[in-house]
Amino acid sequence: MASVASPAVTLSDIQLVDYTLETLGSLGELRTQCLRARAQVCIERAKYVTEYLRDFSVPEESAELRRARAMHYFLSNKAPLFFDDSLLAGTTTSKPFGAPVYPELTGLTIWPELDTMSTREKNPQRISPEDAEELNLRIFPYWMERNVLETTRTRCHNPPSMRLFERIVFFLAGKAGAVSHTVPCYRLGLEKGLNAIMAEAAAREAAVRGKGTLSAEEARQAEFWQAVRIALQGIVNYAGNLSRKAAELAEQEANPARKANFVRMAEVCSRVPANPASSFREALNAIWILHIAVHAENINMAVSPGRLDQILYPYYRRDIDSGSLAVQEALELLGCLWLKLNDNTNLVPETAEELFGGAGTVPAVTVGGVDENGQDAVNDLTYLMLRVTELLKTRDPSLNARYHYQVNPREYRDRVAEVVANTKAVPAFYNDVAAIATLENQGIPTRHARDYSVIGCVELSASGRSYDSSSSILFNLPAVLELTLYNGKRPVTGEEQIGPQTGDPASFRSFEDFWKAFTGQLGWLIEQAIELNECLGRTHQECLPTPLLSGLFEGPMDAGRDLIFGGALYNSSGATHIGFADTVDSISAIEKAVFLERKYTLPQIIEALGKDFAGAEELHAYLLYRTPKYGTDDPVAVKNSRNLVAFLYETYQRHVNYRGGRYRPAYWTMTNHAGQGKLAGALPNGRKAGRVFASGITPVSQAAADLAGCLLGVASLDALQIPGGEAFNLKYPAIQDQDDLKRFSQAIEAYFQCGGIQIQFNIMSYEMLLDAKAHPENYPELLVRVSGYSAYFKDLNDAMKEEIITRTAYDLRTGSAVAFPERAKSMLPGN
Amino acid sequence: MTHPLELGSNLVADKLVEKFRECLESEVAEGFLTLLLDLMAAVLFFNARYRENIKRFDACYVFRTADDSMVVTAIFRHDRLEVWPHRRKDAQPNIIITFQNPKALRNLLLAPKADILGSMLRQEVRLEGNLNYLYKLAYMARRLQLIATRAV
Amino acid sequence: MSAGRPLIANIRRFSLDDGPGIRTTVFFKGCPLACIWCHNPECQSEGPEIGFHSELCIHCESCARACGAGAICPDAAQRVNREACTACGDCAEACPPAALRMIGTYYPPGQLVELILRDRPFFDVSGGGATFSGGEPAMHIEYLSGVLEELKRVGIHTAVQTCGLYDAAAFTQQVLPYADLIYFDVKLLDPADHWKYTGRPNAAILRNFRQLAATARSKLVPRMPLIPGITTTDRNLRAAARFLRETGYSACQLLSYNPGVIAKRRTAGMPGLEELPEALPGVEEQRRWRETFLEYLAA
Repeated sequence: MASVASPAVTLSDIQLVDYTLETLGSLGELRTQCLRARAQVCIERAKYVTEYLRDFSVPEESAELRRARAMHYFLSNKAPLFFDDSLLAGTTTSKPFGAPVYPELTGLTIWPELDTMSTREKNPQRISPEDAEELNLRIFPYWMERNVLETTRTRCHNPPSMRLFERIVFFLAGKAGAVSHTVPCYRLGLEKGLNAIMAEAAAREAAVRGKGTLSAEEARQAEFWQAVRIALQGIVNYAGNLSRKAAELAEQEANPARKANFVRMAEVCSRVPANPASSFREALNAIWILHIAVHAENINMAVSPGRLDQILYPYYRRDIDSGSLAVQEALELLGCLWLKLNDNTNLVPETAEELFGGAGTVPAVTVGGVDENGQDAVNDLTYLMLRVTELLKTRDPSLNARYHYQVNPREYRDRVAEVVANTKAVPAFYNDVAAIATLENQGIPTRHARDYSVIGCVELSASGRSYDSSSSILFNLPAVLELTLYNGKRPVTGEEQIGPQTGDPASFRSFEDFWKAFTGQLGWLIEQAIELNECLGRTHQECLPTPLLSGLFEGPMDAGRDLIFGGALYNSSGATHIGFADTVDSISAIEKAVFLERKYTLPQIIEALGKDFAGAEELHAYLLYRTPKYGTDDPVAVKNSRNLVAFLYETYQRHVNYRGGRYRPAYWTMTNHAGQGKLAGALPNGRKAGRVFASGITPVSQAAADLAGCLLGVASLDALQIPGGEAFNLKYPAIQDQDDLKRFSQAIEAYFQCGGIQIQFNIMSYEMLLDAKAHPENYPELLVRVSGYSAYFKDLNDAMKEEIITRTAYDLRTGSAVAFPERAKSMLPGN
Repeated sequence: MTHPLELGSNLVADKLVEKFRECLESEVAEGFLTLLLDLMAAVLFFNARYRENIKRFDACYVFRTADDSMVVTAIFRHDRLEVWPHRRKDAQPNIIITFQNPKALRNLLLAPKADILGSMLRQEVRLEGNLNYLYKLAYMARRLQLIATRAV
Repeated sequence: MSAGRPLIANIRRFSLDDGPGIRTTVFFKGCPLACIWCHNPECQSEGPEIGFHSELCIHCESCARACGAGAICPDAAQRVNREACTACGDCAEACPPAALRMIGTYYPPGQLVELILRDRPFFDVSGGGATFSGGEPAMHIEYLSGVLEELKRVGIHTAVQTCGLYDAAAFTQQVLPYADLIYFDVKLLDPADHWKYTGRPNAAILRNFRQLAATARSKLVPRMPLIPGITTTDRNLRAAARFLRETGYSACQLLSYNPGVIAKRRTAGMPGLEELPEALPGVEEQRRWRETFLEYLAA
């Protein structure tokens, strides 16, 4: 812990209690508008991109250039809109709260609903009849054979791995819907300005072309630099349009404050992001415009702004020191950026809503931690951003606090803990020691590992330098368990032989036999998922290069290679796992029941599973209460959890992806643990059919009876084998006073010192959550931590609500699990 | 200007709408596929607005039960819909939809409260081919559903 | 002092109420006193016993089938007939949901130390450590001493909660050197009251307190349980305050009463329930007791 106060922290009050929504300009009003906003489908992007490709593009041109030109066309024509009194200019879509359509990816999945999604029961997204017709008749038809999934199907001849993916219940292939999931290097845009980057691209292109005859590689490079220039010019054009529009609105505006704001915005947008930012306000607005621009090209899923407290700090410091910026204004500006980050949401079709509902776009912002030299990087902006988050309590951005227990000051840790206690859900804590170590272990040089950011949800990334496609694979572990128990079949897919025949469980003589069969199925299914990811990756290379994002990244400009072709300094693909705890507990249950105590046979257990434990109450109780549980220090549980993590790590790391990076296993689940749980039968850990799985890397609900065991159990997993990141969800009913807060902080400290990577919280009691489920109208703004991001409780589907309700709550004062309310016991996965 | 949902007066079409609506409300949805395609063909014929959906749209859909006891081919070409009660050798299907029963097919295509989850659990529908064709067809089917339920 | 092996009823981790920081508290079985308000009734008897968690019971009657002593009453709320029970543990072994559990495990000293040291990360970040309670840890001084010594050797903070009735010489020689804090209960000053409510006289207890106050003042922390109508009488508060003043103390930890103890004691088949108030004492009332006591202490 730092005993010398950092010069970067000059605030007299790091809690900034004097600043509230009442005193921060129109932030309160903007926030209210934000929370009230109702989602509308925005077709503007789809319209322009399709128009360009369909009507104007030259088919002979490379995808790189056509894509760049389409981005240029869209951004140049994108309507410059001002919906409210925000201090920042620019909107992600043409709607105040828009769900943009990406027909190249999964946009067409809403086709069936064009007439009904405005009025559907769960999370309706409104679309006008005119827009519906445009999509139906003019946009979607163009993409029927051209979206990523279908293109891949044709190119790879509808491979079995794709058909497996389409069964939903084995793994999900993220690339069908997105690569995104990255942290761009906005710093480049702020420091150099787009004009300079374009000039650089032009110079490089000219240098190569000047050679005369070009090799194929050089020709591609030249095209790449040309494409970057074209795409970035589109951004400059958009900013120019914003500037002109703001000036126009200023002319027409009578209200002096509003007029002044328009004038300022017109000025700002005339300078940035074309030129380097020269003030805090310019830097903020530049980041915002760049963020919008990235979404022209990349779907709005987890494009994460990164370490904003580091990136914006030089501008903040200069302006504060020169007197041209006050803390008050800085907070207002940050608040505006925070609210802007909420101005868009994902387009969600009905089925996805039912299975996986409630997730947002998760733009993750990272604060704190250490700098490239390993020094304390906490600064004034870190505290301003914490305060803004504390005041606004909006779903986005997802704030992530890096904490280095050897370097960052205790008061920083405690302030973050305080914000968690006040918001009851955010931010999440990241262990710098473990995170940096695991990235170094992946071959990232120390100074870059130290500069890591979080990609929403919880993935670790060498910010702005590493293209991580962290959501490439979402892997369903309990599916493998069932495949093992049913010799390559799963109840939900009936009699079909899905996986290899690893043996009739009745023939297993030892736990080693079982483990061999299990890892056999697991290895096979992983191969399928990887194969499909590679196919989809190559389709992205062929059809969806990302020149715009590549221009805002470290690596591609020097290499002359698009991110999608491996141009980033570092590359990887992320594979996350659903149902880890339930799977581990089931394996341990089998080991104890069948092989250690010889109390039951596998066929007996399998039969009971098939009947959802009906008529097998003793067997069920035994499996539920007397078998080893992950999240305790039972040696069997510890062994199996570590072995599973090790097996996954070793298997994935043997594979190199199409961009030259390795596969990194992770353990976060969004809401998939609810959806997949609904589709799975009863499991040997005592979980009944159709019940949700535990989230992320968290132990099964109610299985880990004491807090100490739970924290140490999760921390005992080897962080070096979890390079993709993890989500560990912990719940406390209340943090009531300073003593509680101190213990809360200390528990995190101990957990980090034992090697845990990440931890996040819901500070809510069972009773409160049960009430919120029964009476949603009384809790319109209740924000809960789901699994790596936050959601409004009322937006979650019933299964997810129940999952959050049933998560073990620990009493901070006794370290024991709080008894689950008797009247709601039927919600528990074992009941 | 004709309202997009109006059919104009046509006794055949009216009768089909009536039967279709009954099918929508019924528990087992007997005859759903035939009713849907017949109604679709009729509306395509009479309603220029609806017909725009299939302008320059060439596609072949094959619907079948798992045991092939029922096979229907729907071909969109030349701005028309042709329905055949068997597989056509001259048409390569863009998508093959295998369904267990008419209710499963209805749940797949129509709204609201489509029991997608239940459908998946019971493995009631299998899809092979380009899913975008299914989405488009579902859109057109839901259009018909709106017509049928709003028509007096 | 006890002749039998020391049995541990429970090890409670991440405890905040048993000393400074985050602590791990070890509860010994066996106590020389039998306070009618004891919040840990399962720790009173030295020997092993069977505990029953009725909310987990699935009514399979595996316990009845397993019991060789006819001590199981399947329909009774008190599942185990303590007269007949030999605490062999067969029922607990057979119970599928572990609703019946053996209370009282022997750990070789090294193993107990290991178990405590699991939680070292929490001690280190919070200035916490290990606390020994129960029951009465000083019924097994040699065992306790061995464990304490080892913990001190590896730098762990230690605390002992005692009722004060122990062999003074042995305690001074074997426990005191390795205990950083001694939480010493002061309950009832009137000898007759003390006998009535705890089953033992208080002379030796008060003598031991005086001795520690004289020789190990900085380690000794007096505690008093506030049991409504029993220890909170004006007479007792005055007497306790005077005693503490005389021994040089101007502060004392006051422990609140929890009416939940009644249900706990009923399940364990313990007497004296009629004397215990069923209602949680009001905030006002509690405040009054504390204020009164502090007044007397300061007088």
